[in-house]
Amino acid sequence: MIGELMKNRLKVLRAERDWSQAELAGRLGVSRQAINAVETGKFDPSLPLAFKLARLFNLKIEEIFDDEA
Amino acid sequence: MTRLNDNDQVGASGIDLERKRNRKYWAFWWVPLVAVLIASLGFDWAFGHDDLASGGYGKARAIFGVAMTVIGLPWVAIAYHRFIDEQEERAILWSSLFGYYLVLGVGLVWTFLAKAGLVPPLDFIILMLVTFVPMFGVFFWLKYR
Repeated sequence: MIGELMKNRLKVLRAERDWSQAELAGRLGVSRQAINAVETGKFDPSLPLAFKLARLFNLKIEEIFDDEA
Repeated sequence: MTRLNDNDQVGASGIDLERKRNRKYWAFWWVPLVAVLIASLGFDWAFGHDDLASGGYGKARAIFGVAMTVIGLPWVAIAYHRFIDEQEERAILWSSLFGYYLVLGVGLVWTFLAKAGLVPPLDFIILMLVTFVPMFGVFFWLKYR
């Protein structure tokens, strides 16, 4: 789909834990490019990946992603 | 309990897991290429002395080529698509769609121009190359920008 993408707090959450993009990518089993694309709002993750992220940061999905861009 | 997978190894840091994943990723590119190259050289070594006219060498190479395309390519492709992440999958899907529209557009225009006698008949190799270059451009742009 071509259109607006969601905003997210991934970069802030990652910085709070002092994790690099590679560290987070490794923990999630995706590439570093995928993390970069999500952080910069170029790519919206799938629901399973969003749940994985939420579990990793111990937050709810809506506490990480904001669809009111 | 969440099932452990390749990337949930106890004790390994995220960076180690990412490096391991990265190594495996690039192996998908160079291992099949090296395998085909070695197999190809092996064929040359085994059958290269045959006279082409006798058919032995040419036939063996043809069988090898068909086997690689029918068995090797799908096998590598399935393994690759099972391994890559969703961001790369999206890059592949969009670049493939772009390529599809390009083939459709260029192919149709070329066909009509050829029918009008303005250009030579459609060359599928050139059409494929014309499609592949922008397709790879779209893929790399979506994956690495």
